[in-house]
Amino acid sequence: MVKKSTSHLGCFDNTSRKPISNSCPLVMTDHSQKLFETLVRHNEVALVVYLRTMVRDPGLVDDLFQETLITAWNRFDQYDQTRPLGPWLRGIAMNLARNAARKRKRDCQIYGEAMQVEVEAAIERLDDQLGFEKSDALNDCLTQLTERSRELLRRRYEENLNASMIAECMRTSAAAVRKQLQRIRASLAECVAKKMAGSAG
Amino acid sequence: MKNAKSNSNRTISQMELWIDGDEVDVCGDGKTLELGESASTAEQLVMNGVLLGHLEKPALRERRIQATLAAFERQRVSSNKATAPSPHRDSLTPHKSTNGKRRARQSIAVLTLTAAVMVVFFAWGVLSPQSAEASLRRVIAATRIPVTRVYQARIYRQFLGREYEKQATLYIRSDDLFVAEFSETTNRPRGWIGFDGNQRWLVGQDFRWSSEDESELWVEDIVDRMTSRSMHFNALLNEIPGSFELRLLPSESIEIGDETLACQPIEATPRDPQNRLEKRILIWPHPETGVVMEMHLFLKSDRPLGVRRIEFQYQREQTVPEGFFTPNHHQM
Repeated sequence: MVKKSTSHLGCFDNTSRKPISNSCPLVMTDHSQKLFETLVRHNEVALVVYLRTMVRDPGLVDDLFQETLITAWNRFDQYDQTRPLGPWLRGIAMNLARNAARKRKRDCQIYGEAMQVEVEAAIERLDDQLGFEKSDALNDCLTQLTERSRELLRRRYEENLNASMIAECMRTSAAAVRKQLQRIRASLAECVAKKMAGSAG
Repeated sequence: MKNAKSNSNRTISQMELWIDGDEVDVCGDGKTLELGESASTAEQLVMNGVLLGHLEKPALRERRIQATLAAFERQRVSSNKATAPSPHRDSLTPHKSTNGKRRARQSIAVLTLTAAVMVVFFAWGVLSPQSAEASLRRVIAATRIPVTRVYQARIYRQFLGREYEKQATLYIRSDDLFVAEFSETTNRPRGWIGFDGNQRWLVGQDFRWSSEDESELWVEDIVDRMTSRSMHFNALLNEIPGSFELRLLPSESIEIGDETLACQPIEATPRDPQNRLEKRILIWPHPETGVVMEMHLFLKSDRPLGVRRIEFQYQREQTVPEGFFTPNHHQM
């Protein structure tokens, strides 16, 4: 049994992702700041991962994250509480990202409906497998990588260098770096899936 | 089938470029880009996001959360103000004779406020600090590539209302190595200052000094006067996020050699001006690579002939011999 960790607000069940009661106090009260903070903290990782599938500029990711959660809060009366919260938040995020794409015309990559379905499915799978907060499986998989693969990931994700910059440092071509990174990500996804399947079995 | 395969290849290539590339603008005219329906493409996009999140510094995550909470609080305060009943009796039951005048005054006030808010939003959109931070992150990432970049440095001093210029060639690599070669002037011979990763050093006419030598404060003073700290500007760039306010200025064209580049400058001003030598820093990063193309440092100085301004202009990348950043490599 895979434990799900997606609790969004105090009034949501941790395992079923359904609200405990339909009369949750999601109105502007003295506690609203606290409730909003819970909403933000519980959805931060999954929402940022989703935004990063569409938007490259980290500053724009932060702006859209902020806007998505405030919009969600303001429209909470439109949320069907019988359904999980994650996809609803991602729908808002997608619409805001589309608007940003129209305004900025760069640093964004908005895909069509078919791709959106695939990304949704991949996010759901990872959410089930990792719980996003529980990244032990990912840590294990990272330690199994070769030294060179870890070096590539460090330069790409910690130092935030792009493929051409990494290629310059590692005396190879940008295309080779991109291909290697693609393989590393695929192997990590497979490794995480295997580990989680193993622990569930 | 053959076509399908080539389409699939093109799709993957676009996705790879989007995730790890640097120059792609896949949004085009803001139209939807269909990347294909491949589950592996989706897996790549999502794993890319997971790794970005997993390897992100906790401080950055916390800053994102705090910024969101602050935005929510601002909205909450303004919404409470808007709905709070006015304690003024007239505002609840307006007097007939004054109602029209008050409405006119209110309309003017509302229009003025709306205009002011639009100006503020326009300025915020153009000069957004978030974008300036993102731009600076690219600049700092570009400094970490282990290549030696050469800059022309112009150092301006002021004395009795007149400005004096001195020139140096700066070789800088990562955030821990630099050599500045000062050209000969009528008053001074050629000289070098540098940092080799462990020690600051100076090579002058018949003279060598490094910070590991016995303390000679007067030499340290000379090294400071030779703007050692400012020449080490890759290290200075790393200090900016923690102690400076940032904003983006409107784009402008700058000339680097034969090339004209449209760069959007970043302006950094110290949060605590008392504790900083720099009064203001202007950085023109390359629009694609983030490499500093031009940088101006405005400095505090209360000494006669103190340095007031240093301007760096990018020249080229250069391969330098082994040991280039050590004092032994340089001599008159």
